[in-house]
Formats: sequence, C-alpha cells, structure tokens
Amino acid sequence: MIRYLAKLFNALAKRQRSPVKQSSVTKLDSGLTHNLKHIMDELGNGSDVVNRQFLIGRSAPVLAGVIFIDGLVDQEMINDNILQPLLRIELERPVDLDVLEKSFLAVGGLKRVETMETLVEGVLTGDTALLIDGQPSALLLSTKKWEQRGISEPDTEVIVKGARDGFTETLRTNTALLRRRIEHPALRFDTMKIGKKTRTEICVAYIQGVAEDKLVEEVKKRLRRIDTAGILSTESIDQFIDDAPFSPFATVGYTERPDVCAAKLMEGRVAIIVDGTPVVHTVPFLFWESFQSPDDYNFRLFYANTMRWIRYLAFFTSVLLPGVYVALSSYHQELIPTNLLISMAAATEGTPFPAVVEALGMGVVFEILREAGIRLPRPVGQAVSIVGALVIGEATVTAGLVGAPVVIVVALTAIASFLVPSQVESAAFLRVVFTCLAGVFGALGIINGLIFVYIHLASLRSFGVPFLAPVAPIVPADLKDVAVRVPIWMMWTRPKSIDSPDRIRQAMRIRPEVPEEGHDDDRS
Amino acid sequence: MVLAVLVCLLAGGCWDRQELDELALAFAAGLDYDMEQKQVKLITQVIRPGQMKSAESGGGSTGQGGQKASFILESQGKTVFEAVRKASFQISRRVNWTHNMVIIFGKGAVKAGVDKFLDFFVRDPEPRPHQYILVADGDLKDILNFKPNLEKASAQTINGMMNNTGVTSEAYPVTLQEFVNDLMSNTKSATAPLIKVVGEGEEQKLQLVGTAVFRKGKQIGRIEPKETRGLLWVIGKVKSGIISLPSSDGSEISIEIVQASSKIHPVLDGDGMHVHIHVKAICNLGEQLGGENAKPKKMIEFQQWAEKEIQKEIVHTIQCSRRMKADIFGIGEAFNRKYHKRWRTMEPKWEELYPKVKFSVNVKAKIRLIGETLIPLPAH
Amino acid sequence: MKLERGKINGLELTTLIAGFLFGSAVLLFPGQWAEHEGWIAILGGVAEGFVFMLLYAALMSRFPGKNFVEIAKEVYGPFFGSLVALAFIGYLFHLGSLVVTDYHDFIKLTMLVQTPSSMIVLVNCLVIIYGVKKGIEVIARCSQGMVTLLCVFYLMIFGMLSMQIKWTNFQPFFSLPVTKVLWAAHMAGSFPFGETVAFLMVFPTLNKPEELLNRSLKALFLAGIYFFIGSIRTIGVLGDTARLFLYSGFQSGRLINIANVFTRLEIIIGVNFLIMGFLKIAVLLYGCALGIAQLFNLKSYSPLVLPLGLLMGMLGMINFSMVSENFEFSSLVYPVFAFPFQVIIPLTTLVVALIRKLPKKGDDDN
Repeated sequence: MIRYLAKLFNALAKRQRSPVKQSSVTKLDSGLTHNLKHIMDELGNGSDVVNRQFLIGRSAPVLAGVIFIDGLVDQEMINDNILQPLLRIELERPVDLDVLEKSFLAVGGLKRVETMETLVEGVLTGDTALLIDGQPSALLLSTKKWEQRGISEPDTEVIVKGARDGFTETLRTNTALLRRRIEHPALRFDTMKIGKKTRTEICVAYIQGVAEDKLVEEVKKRLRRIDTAGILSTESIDQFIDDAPFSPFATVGYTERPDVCAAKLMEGRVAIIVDGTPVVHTVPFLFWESFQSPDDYNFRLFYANTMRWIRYLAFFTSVLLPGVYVALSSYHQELIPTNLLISMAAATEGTPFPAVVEALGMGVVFEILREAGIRLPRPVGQAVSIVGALVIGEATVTAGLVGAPVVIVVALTAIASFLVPSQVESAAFLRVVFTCLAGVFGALGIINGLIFVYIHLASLRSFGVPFLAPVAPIVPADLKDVAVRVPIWMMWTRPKSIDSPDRIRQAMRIRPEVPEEGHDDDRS
Repeated sequence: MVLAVLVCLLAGGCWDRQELDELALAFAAGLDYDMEQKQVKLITQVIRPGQMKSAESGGGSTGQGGQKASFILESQGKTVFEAVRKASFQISRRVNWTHNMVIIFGKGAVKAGVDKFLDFFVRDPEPRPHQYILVADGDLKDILNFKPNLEKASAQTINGMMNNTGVTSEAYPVTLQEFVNDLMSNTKSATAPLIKVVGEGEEQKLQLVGTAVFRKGKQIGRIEPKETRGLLWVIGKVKSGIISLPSSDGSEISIEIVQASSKIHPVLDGDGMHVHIHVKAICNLGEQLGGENAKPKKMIEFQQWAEKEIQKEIVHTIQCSRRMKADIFGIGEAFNRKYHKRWRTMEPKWEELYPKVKFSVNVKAKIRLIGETLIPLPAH
Repeated sequence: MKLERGKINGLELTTLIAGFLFGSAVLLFPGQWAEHEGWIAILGGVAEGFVFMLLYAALMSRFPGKNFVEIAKEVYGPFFGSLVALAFIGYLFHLGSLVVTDYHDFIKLTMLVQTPSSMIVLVNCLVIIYGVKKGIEVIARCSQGMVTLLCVFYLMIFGMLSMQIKWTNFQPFFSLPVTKVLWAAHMAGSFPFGETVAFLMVFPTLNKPEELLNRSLKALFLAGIYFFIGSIRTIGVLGDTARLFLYSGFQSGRLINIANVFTRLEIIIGVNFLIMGFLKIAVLLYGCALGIAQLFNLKSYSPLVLPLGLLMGMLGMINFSMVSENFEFSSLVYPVFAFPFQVIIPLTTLVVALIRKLPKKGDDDN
C-alpha cells in the first residue's frame, strides 16, 4: 500500500513539474480545399458546421470559402455583410485577403490568422473564417450572436430600491454592463482562456490605478495555474484560487449584480468574469462584505444602519441560536428568568428526546424542506412548504415528539439564515458544530467554539488582506462601513486594507450645506 | 473518526446535562432546628413546571386526574446540605435551587441562631443572593403549604408581597445578600420580616405581622408593623405609604408618601454619643374625608402634622430598639465609619452603650401635589 | 529571529497586554486581601506594574529585536544563559498551568459541576493550542476585538450595578493596618501586573520597537482602570461580604437586577473570564514554545505547541489537590515565589549587561 502511495505521489509530482505542453502549431496551407478539409476534420464534420465555397470576382475568379458554426453566428450579418459584398466584386485582377480586408468586408471585427489552431478556435467562438485559395492565411470575421437570457434581476440578490439588471451568461454582455457603469478608460478587461477542453474565456476586470498592480498580478497568476480539463462555472474557479479551501468561510466573494460589482471595482478590488455563468467573483473578499447590501447605500442613514445591524443579529442568530438554546435549557437553567423557565419547562414536559437531539433533528428536517423547496416544480412548491411548516411543525409539537420552543428556535434560525445569503454555507456548518458543542459542554462549549472560530477567521487572508480587516487588525480609516454605514459624503477614502494606490475616493467636504446667506422668503 | 468521537461524546451522557423536564424547582425553603435531636428540618416547596401554567380551579385542589402545581418535601439532617440532599432523595428528580425565592426560618432555627444555617445558601453556587429571608410566626409548614388565590405557589405570593411592601412600607424586605451583610457586622442587629397565616379555612391568607430582630443570629425580639416603618424612616428605605391624620375640624386626611430619604449623623464628643437623624419626605395629599379646601395655609398645617406623626413613629421605634438593646439602624457602623479609632474600644461594649446613645430626630415633610380635585367631597 | 516571522503593531500589543492582564483577574478581586481598601491596593499594584514595565522596556531597548532567551544566552554566556532561560520558561509554564487551574476550578464550580476535569481542560487547551499554532500575530489580532468587547461588557455591568453601590462601604478610610494594604498591593502587583514579564518573549515582534514603552504603559493604564472600576464595583456592591466570597467579582455580578428583567447576568463576567483566560494562557504557551525552540535551536516552534499545551493542561489539573490550597498559594506564596522571576531575573540580566557593556557595538546576532 505504501508503495502504491509512493508511486501515486511520484506521478503527481512529475505531472506538476512538467511544463504545460504547448499545442503544436500548424500553419495554414495555400490550397483552399486542403485547408477546408483540414478544418472540417478538426471540427469533426459536425452537422452544425457550415462550409460554403464560392467564387470572388468575375474576370479572374478566385475560389473562397467561409466556415462558421450555425447557432453561434448572426446569419443575417454573414449573408448581408460578408457574402453579398464578396459575391458582387467586379474587380479586374484577382483579389487577395488584403484587398478584401480593406475594401470589401462590411464587418467591424476582423482579424488575420495564420495558424490552424487560432482559426478553429475563432470559428468555435462564433467567428466566421474566410479563406482564399492560394493564400496561407485567413480572416476571422466577428459575427457572434446567439440566444441568451434577457437581462433581469437575479433571483438571489434582490434589493428593494435600485437597479434591476443582472449579469447574464455571456461574457460580452457582462463586460458591457460594467462598462456602462464605469465609463472610464481605466477600466480594464484582461482575458484568458482556461480549461483544456472547455477553453472557457475568463476576464479579469479592474480599474487601473485604483486596483493594486500586485493584486491583479496575483489573480492572474492563480488563474493561470489552473490546469484542468474543464471549467463549467465560476464556482470551480473560486475553489481553485481560494486561499483556504478547508475553511467553512469563503475568501472569494461573488455577485450577480453589476452595480455591486462596479462598486467593488471602484474600491480597488478585482473582478473575475467567466463566460457561461452570471456569477462574477470579486477578490479580495472580506468578512464584513457579506453584511453589506446595495440597499444600505440606497436608503437613508438610520434605516440603512438599522437594517445592517439586524443583519448582523440575524447572522449570529442563525449560527448560535440553536446552540444557545440547547446550552441554556440543558445546562444552565439558572440563567433563564424564572417565568420563562416555567413556560419552557411546561412546553417540553414529556418529550422523549434531549434538547440537543431535538435541535439537531429539527435542523435536519428544515434543511430537507429547504432543499425540497428549491427543486420542486412551481405548482407543487407552495403546497409542500405549507405542508412542511404547518403539518410537520404543528404535528410534532402536538404529538409531543418535540417541544414547542425547539420548533420556534429552529424556525427563527432558518429565517434568519436567509438575511445574509453569502454566508449560508458557513452558517449551516457552524450551526451544527455549535449545537453539538453546546450539547456536550454547554456554555463552555459555545464560548470555546466562538473563540476557535474567531481565531480561525483572524488567521484567514484573502489574497493577502486579513479576512477580518478592518476589525482585526483595527484599521480606523475603514471602520466607516463595517458596523455603521456613515453618510455617503463621509466616505472619502478607499479601504486602506485593500491598499489601493489611489486612496481618495471623493472630495472631502461635499456634505450638503445650508447656504450662508439667509433665504429671502419674501420675494418682492 | 470525527464522527466516532462525536458519537462518543454525545452518547456518553454529557455529564452535566439536565433537561428541562427533569427539573424539580425549589421555590421556597423552610428551615427549622430541633434542639434536642440536633437535626435541621428542611421543608422544600417544589413546583411542577408543567402544572404552573395550566388553568386550575381556585385554591389548587386536586381535580380529577389533575395535579397540584406545588408540593412540599420534608426532610431532616445534621446539616442543611444533608437535609437538602435527603429532600431530593424523596422524589424522582433532583431539586434545583437556582430559582429559589424565599427562605423562611422557623422558631427552632431563630432560637438556635440562623447565621450558621445560611452557610449552605451562600457557599453553594445554585442559590442566588436575591432570595428573601423571612421568619415564620407560627407553623412553618402551614406557610409553605398555603395555597394562594392569585398564584400557584405560596413562594410566589411571598415573593410578590416582599416586592410590594413599598405600598405601606410597614415591612422591611431583606434579601440574602443584605441579611448576610448585617450578620457579618459585630454591632448591627439583623432584621427579617415576620410572616404568618391568618384566618380559618377558606378565608386564610398570608400576612406580614412585623419584623424579627436578631442579635448574633438569634432572635431576641420583634417590632410591630408601624414600628417597622419607623425603622425604614431612619435607614431611608421608605418607598411609599400612608400617614393618616385627624384634621382639626374632625375630618381625616391621608397623606401619601412619595419619596423619602434620611441622613444619619453620628457625633462623638465629650458629652457622649449623639446621633442626628434627618429625614426628608415628599408627600401628596391623598384623601380628605370632608373638611376644608386645600389652601396653602391648610397645607402647611398638614405638613406640620405629618412631620410630627413621622417623628412619633421614629421615636417609638428608637425606644423599642433601646429596650431590646438592639442596634437595628446600624448606628454602630456609622460611628465606625466616622470615628474609627475610637470605635475600636467602644465596639465590644456596644450592647451596653447603645441604649445610652442620644438621638435627635429632625423631620422635614413637604406636601407637593393634591391629586386631581381642589375641593374635598362632599363638595358644596 | 528566524523562528518568528510575524509582526504585531502597536495597538495590537496594547490590547494583547491588556487582555493578558485582565486574564484570570476578572473573576477574582486582586485587592481582596485589603477588604474595603482594595482599591488602594489596586492603585499600588498598578504602580508596581509600571515600575516592572520600565524595567522590561529598558532590557528590551538594550537588546532590540531579541527575546529573553536570546538575551539570556548573550548576557550569561551559552551555558548559564540556557539555565536562566530554562528557569524563566519553567516559570511561564507553571504560570500557564495555574491559569488553567483557575479556569478549571471556576467552571467546575459554577457551570459544569459533574463533567470530568480532563474534558474541561481538554476543551480549553485545544482552542489555545490552535490559536498558538496560528501564531502570535493572529492572537494579537484576536485580542483587539476581544478586549474591545470585554470593555463594553464591563462598562455595561458597572452601569447596571452602579445603582446598588453603597458609598458607605468604602468607609472607614485607612482603617486597616498599613502592612495589610501593602501586602495586598504587592499581591496585586505580582498578580496580574508582574506577569507581564512573559511579554519579554513577545516584545520583539513589535513592528515599531520605539513604541514599546508607550504602548505597554497604555495597556497597563487600561488594565489599571479596569481593575479599579472593578474594585469599586465589588466593594461598593458587596460591602463587607466581599471578603466572604472566593470569586468576589463574579458574586457582585449576581446582584444585577434591573426591573426584574435583566437578572442573572453574571454569566457575562464568566464569559469575560473565559475569553481573557484564553488570551493569557495563549501568550504563556507561546512564550514557552518559542523559548524551548530557541534553546534547542529548532527550526520552528510549531510542533512543540501541542505537547506543551497538553502538558500545561495536565499540570493544571494536578496543581493543587484542593481549591483552598490554591487560594492560600496565591495569597501567601505566589507574591514571594514570583518575585525572582518577575523582577530579579530581568533586573540582574540588565545589570550584568550593563557591567559587561553588552550588546557589543557592531556585534551581529545570527
């Protein structure tokens, strides 16, 4: 067995050490038929690959061919802007690609390619390839168009007051949405392709001069290190570049909203957009960001801050409430006021299970209900949630299987966990841990567990930035948006923790002020 | 492996876990002491949480298949702790003292000295410092067995009464913390309210009938409710109350005390020991049974009568305390704070010195408000 | 310095020292020996702590960037220096186990009465070992949030009890024999203020060494205020009964009762203790692990943390056979026993260094 492990280890090490094989480069041939055949073979003669040959010019006709993939191209554009002008050419001398490129093709995006690989790649992304007999190069014409979901508000990140657009699955649409929000040339999109078979296009977005260069470099470095067959969603990406894969807390943030993404870019963060998924990742991601919602900035000061505090409370509730209930009711009855204790004791009289088991059990039941609710078809969904909540909850209490306080606690916990959507995964895990700890050690378990989690959080870093900044270590300049969101006109610096080179966000004294001269109410 | 550890831990019984439905909450404790047998007798009033909230017929009689909300356990042992454990031995659950509200001492205990019996309640982490201490005037068991009208257990009634003494300020509610503090003093006499069951059959009720006065833990006497108010005047713990005075024209008036404070000034000079007591009271005119309108001149008259009445109460209490040679006001401690060096010589002889202390009482009362009416009924 | 690469900034140092000082003294009442003049004892203890800190800062400024083990080796020569360092580490280790004992006793008494000691200590030690393994930087970062939270709690408790403080409890002033008050002051000085000697192992990680004295004194000041307020609260609320209780600070918390709604809040004091106890033991364990690693020229102190932590826990369990021994030890023996380690060793080291004119100019450390 050890030998087997050693062999495995060696093989992995060797694989890591060997450089990524460069794909062989095949130059295009002069002969059109030869090229076309080669290309069709590469593409496997698929039924969606369209290949059309025609003659250009009347007096000295030259054989030409276009290749494109049906479904990825704008058929009209090919017909109107490529085929039509080419078929109408009336030149005396034989044409070549230069002439076509400069005078006849009514297409905006145009690229000259020399190798087979780039040509195939281009065709696979929706470009049309134009080849001419006798020329060892081809033109890639940009004709991308495909069906995509319309821009709509993402279901998971709904806000009350604000824009209603959301990212879609197409990279280009997403970059456009960002450009619309940040109409400044410093907004950069650096693309790369990842995944041997999927060749997914990934775009690293940042604002030059605002995002630290080192950060951008590090992001790109980590992305390039991904050496795998296929990437189908950003979630895989985030696990590859994650700082602490074994931690329940994510160190890479995500969003589906362009306004949130733009705001983060403005603070000096870097966004990673992946073609094929509307979820955009932002790094570095700090713990306190999960509690910020665009609503906080769109609403007025006191309401926004109250909502934020309720969110903090909700998070702690969803993590700690079952544990605290178990600890108090099983170990520390002296902490419960007398009347409350009597009510609780009366309600749990005669139940067969200890509080720990009840809390864990009802927690599991709730998770089942929640998962079921997500996957159920619409018409059935309502019925099941009613059945779940009322019937199961009510029935278990009436039957005396579970005490009413436990059901209340679990229900509250469940609802509270929805307030902070980006921490759902960590909250669920921690909840179970704390409940178990509380069940074994009571309050001691909870306190020690909290300290443990706090140490863990304090030791996490997201791309070099301490995860709990600006609370640990305390960075006073950044505390303006953690516990309390100060008025917009007070946020004049960018977060120091992210170390952006351009710290000043806005002018210092733009608070609206009453004009010094008094109003003349009496206008004569 | 983590799962195995987890299961082991959970299944191991989690040593300290005590589920809510395994609780037997002790609400009241009655302590008595048998001198001949040298046994501490403990009566514990235990409540059943499940029955506390259910609707019960008044009086808490056992209905068909119903159960009483509270019941008592009698046990005895050489020490309090032994008796406590013997009580738990009698029932299916372990008695939980964390919510105990009241400790009542019986006759035997106050004769033997209550200070040592309190050791368990102070040392053990379960009982808490806010429990009220009372002394039973009468049978201890009756008090604990008493079935109240408003609440489910007599402990709650007693607790409520202790919280409620402010309405007349004729009883001095003492918590365990304060009582122990007093007991630790070498000169102050601790006090605790006296409680007894009065009436017969259906008409029974609990009543606070005065205050027991202790010296070194043993009860040496008692003072009546009115005298208790005198005590409260001096130590500044009067919360509210009624002073009823006959008016000069034969009508009765009631003055409601709203706020009261006091200052004790000990003076030690060649002349001996003096104590100046200044009492300030802010009152309202509560009721007039006929009589004249409340004009300022009349008010001043009322004020002066109130002051005289309060002074009478205080002086009366001082005389009682002198008779018992019990420093219930804490005068000794006041001298200690101010004249510490000389106090050290005086302290051992305090019992004899105390009756010789000269008191001067100065009362200032102010009647501020007169309620909502200007003219007393019947208004002509 | 190859062993410790982390750096902590000035504010973190302040909160770390403050948290360390709060430590196990949250529950107890360092001036208890002086009864109702405990507050004077506390002031005396703070002053003593100031003096100690000046001594430590002087030693540190003479040997910048080096912790005590390295200094000892340099000053006394490799052989005697190792002996002195070993004794110092032994003191830290023992102190850590004392705190574990305190922790364990308290929990066993008030919270988990029947749970076997080993489980309580195990849970405690596991968290501490995890923290120390992550490094002093992480612990210092944690201490910021924890100490802030603690101060908030503390002020809350003080506010809630302020109505119950009887100012007459502080009189008569100056009535106790001076020797008693002085001894209580020295008790407060050695526990907890003198225990900052442990920071001789932590100071080198400060990123701006010139701030050392400034920040440490701030921490002392903060802790001093804390204990002072605590003593006022305890004496004021409990009065004469303060000397009755083992955990007076905790007992005073039991009396919180606002409108009958906010009762039973003494658990906050218990929680404070748990959190600060963690900080204290973590710093001590870190000092031990780092010191031993340096003595034996190991590459990293990380593998030592687990065994040392468990050993500390075990020693904590067997330290005293009963709590009375603990109480007697901490009131009578400890102030004398700790004195050599808190004062004499650092002082002697400084004096010898002065005599031998160390560190030699231009002398490079590895």
